[in-house]
Amino acid sequence: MIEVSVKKKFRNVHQDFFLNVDFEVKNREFMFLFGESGAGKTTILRMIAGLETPDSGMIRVDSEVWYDSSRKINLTPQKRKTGFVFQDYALFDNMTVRQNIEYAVHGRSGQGKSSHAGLGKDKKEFIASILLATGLEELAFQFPCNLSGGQMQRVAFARAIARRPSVFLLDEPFSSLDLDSRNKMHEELKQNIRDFSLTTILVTHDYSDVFKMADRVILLKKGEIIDTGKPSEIFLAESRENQFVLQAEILEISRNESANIFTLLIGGNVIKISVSESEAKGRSAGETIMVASRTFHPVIVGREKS
Amino acid sequence: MSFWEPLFLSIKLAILTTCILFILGILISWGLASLKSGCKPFWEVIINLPLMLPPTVLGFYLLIIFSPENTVGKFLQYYFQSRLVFTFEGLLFASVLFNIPFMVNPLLAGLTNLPSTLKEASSTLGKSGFVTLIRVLLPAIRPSLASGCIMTFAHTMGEFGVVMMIGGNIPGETRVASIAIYNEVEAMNYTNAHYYSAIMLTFILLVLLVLQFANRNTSRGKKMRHD
Repeated sequence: MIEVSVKKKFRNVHQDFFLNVDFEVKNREFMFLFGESGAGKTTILRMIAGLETPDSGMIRVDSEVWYDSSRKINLTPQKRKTGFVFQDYALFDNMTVRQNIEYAVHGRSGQGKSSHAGLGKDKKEFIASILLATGLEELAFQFPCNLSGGQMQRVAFARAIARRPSVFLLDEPFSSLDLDSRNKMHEELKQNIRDFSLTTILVTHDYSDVFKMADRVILLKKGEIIDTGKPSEIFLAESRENQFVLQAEILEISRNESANIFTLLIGGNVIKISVSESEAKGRSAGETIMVASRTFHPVIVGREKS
Repeated sequence: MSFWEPLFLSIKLAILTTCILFILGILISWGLASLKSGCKPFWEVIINLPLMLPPTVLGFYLLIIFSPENTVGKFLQYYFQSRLVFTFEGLLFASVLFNIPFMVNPLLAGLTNLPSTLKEASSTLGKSGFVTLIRVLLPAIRPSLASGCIMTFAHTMGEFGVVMMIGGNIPGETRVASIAIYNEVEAMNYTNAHYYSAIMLTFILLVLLVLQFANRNTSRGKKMRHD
């Protein structure tokens, strides 16, 4: 069980930003932090890993206190057992895939839990099992610079898992992948998390990530939790009135005797709609607006060309 | 005095200075790179002082400080039976001091340009700052290390002012090539001065060319990686 209850104030040029969150993650749960950029998702992840310090609060993993402002406890990142996957993967270019993973195994300083600590043969077997599970066996002696995006990501996963983390933390891991590798990596990650029984927190702003993988999702907005629950519960509730809200850019506004005609750009399509006088008031071309539709009868016409 | 002696002395001084500064420069730039703003600009000014300061100024102060008449000089004389003025050791000390910016600046630039996630990733993997430095950060800034070393080496070869002030002109001890040239000119012995100068010019030119090509190759290698 991971308990996080932290507060932090950030001074900004425009306005101050308050982060104030309080949540729990059960063992082996796959939890998502979801929200727009600037909602404070990554900051929360960094606080759990010890890369950033909250102003006040408490972070506890199982029975171990990692941070407690009232008792002045603040473990260094080295002492917190986290597996952190960075957005840019942060692979070590001077080491092969295998050495990248080995680096993490060395770092486990042999405390208790793991039977692999410091033992030559066990260590080799452990590394081999990770290479196998992440499909990196054939790439073991390659350097990261020769790998594709998806392969680099696998190395980042493998390295973080090799640390035998109490918490597996992933910061927008799919953001730089194309659609196909993204779908593939969703499956692989899910499998890895199951294989190694990991408790996971993943940060994203992508709906498909959440729907495919999350057990539970925390919805963040401007540093506060606005909702938490299963993805289907949260996101369907958001559009409870069966309205589809879309973002549209006004390309042109023209008028005839009876109505205003707006030419809009919605999701790559240009469409014309007629708009009442009151809706059209104050709008101008170039503006981005939100449009909603109450009726929606979609027909599947094919697969997206990527 | 043999003709080659000053040249060998210059090379010896340059190699030792580079070796000492390699370690010292890594430690200094590592410390500076991990400093949170605040006093960082102050230290950067101190580090870069030898770049702007006339070498004679630094030489003069060192001469005063290490003179056996003064406290520091007396202390060295009494406890270590050594003098830093007009000795090779003194020359080496001054040379290290004077070359700090040539080593530290490239290293500092290399370290600060690395993505911060490298260091953070290593710390979340349980590694101490020092292990991270040795195994992750330094290998990632190899080109900076190479250019720091070559700059220091070449610059030491050519140093004149500081050497003159603190080392003097003792054959076999402190008479390095740049001083020897000055001597030969003073003695109206232009042939030898020509030889020394030509050798120095060729040598330093070669060193800088090697540096240039090494840098071009590494940057080209990096570009290819991203293609």
